[in-house]
Amino acid sequence: MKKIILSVSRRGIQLTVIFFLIVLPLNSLEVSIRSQVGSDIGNFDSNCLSRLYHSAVENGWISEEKLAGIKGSLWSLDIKGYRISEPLAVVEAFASAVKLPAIFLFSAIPFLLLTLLMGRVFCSWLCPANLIFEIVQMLRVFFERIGVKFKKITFSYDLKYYLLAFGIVFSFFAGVPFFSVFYPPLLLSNEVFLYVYSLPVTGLTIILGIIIFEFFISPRSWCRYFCPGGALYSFLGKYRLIGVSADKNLCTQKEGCTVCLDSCGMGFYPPAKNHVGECDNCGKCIIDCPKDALNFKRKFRQ
Amino acid sequence: MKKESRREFIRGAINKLILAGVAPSAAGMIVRNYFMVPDKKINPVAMTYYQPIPVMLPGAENKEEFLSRCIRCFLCGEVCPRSAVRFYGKEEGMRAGTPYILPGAKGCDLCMDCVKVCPTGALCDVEPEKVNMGKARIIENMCLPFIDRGYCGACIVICPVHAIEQGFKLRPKLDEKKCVGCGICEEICPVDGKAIRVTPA
Repeated sequence: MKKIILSVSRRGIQLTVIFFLIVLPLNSLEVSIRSQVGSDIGNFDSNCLSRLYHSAVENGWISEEKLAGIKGSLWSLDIKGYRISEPLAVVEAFASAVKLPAIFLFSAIPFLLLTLLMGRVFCSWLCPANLIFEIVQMLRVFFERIGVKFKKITFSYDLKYYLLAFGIVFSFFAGVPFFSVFYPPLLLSNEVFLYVYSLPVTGLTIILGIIIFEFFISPRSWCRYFCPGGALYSFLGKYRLIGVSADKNLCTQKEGCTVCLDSCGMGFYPPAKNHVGECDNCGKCIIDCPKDALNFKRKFRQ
Repeated sequence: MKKESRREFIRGAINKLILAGVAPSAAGMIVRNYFMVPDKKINPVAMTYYQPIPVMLPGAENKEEFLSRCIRCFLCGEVCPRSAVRFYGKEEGMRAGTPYILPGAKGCDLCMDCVKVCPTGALCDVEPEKVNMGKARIIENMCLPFIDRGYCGACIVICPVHAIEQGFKLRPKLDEKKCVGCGICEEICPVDGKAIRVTPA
């Protein structure tokens, strides 16, 4: 039961994030067209997303008025005047501009608190790019079971911290935010926006490159070794309250069971406790464990 | 043994310093000095073939400050009621993903929604009359009333800051002090190749 709730809730949250990623720009475009009767704003009915959206509105699945106050993506969200931004956005903007409005600095607090309490949950529960990379990983595992052989190169887990430091120093000296040029979740939301507004698509090559690299050469390499956002979240979530831990009486680690090692997206082995800061609390190992030995536990109790 | 380990530690520290300190600062300096090439100054009046020239959004007068603050969240494009805001593609390098307006295709009507929604203050809070996106210029040998091809007055009616007055035979007369360069006159101009064109600031 616990396993079903965990897996369904995580996939549900991921899919809602993707849903809002697509629906919010469509909704604001529709509202702007309604407000300007008679003016021709682009060719709104040109793409299939807008047709889906129209049918959803007509069937009453989406209410335009309720969604009208919500704008933006996870990178910088605007809910009826209240702002929520990713800590990485605040860090890079602070490095490049220094002078910033206080509202923007405070807008990082929700995700900051979430990360301090629960660890790197942004990556596994909210990040839209993570879902895509998980699907790529599933495909890779499927092809491996059939018998196709892929390369499996590993890097150092510390690389992403260097990339984070590199980006912060770079954006300070260049005067341009560095991460927002290639950060996959942001690029993904921007591409959806550009598609909805029928503008030329630009940054999809980076995401496609990462997907090809992950599929053929190194599994889940972006989240494990390179993602600057992941680096920031695992740095902040090092002293989290909730983490995965194994029950020693139930765990069959000594008999050579490596089910959780195979299922973990980050490539950790939970019973060995080598996952201190970088575990993203996705709960895959808990779902896959045949002996129910793994569980979320409060750290200070141990 | 002890000495060697210390030496290794120092060597590792120097490597880390180069990786995360010296290299990015050098790269940043290079990008700032050599890759932030300002736009080519095109004189829109002297163009042989007309093409719209991009202008910055209202409140983004200081280009360097704007670039340092813009986090590419695309909120300005989402709130724009005319969907006039466009975004630079990846061929623009570090400027990719920042917004601009093409007045020839879709002008700005100075509703200031993008300024209100911008989270980082990249678009400074200014009044519509004090915006400085550029300056419009009338090309007199193309404008219909000037060459006696009838009365038009489209730009006079549409101008949101009342910078264009009507002169003799409805000929537009531009007040350069009032003009903010929103480019809605360029959008509305019925002449092929646009008889009124905006020069970016």
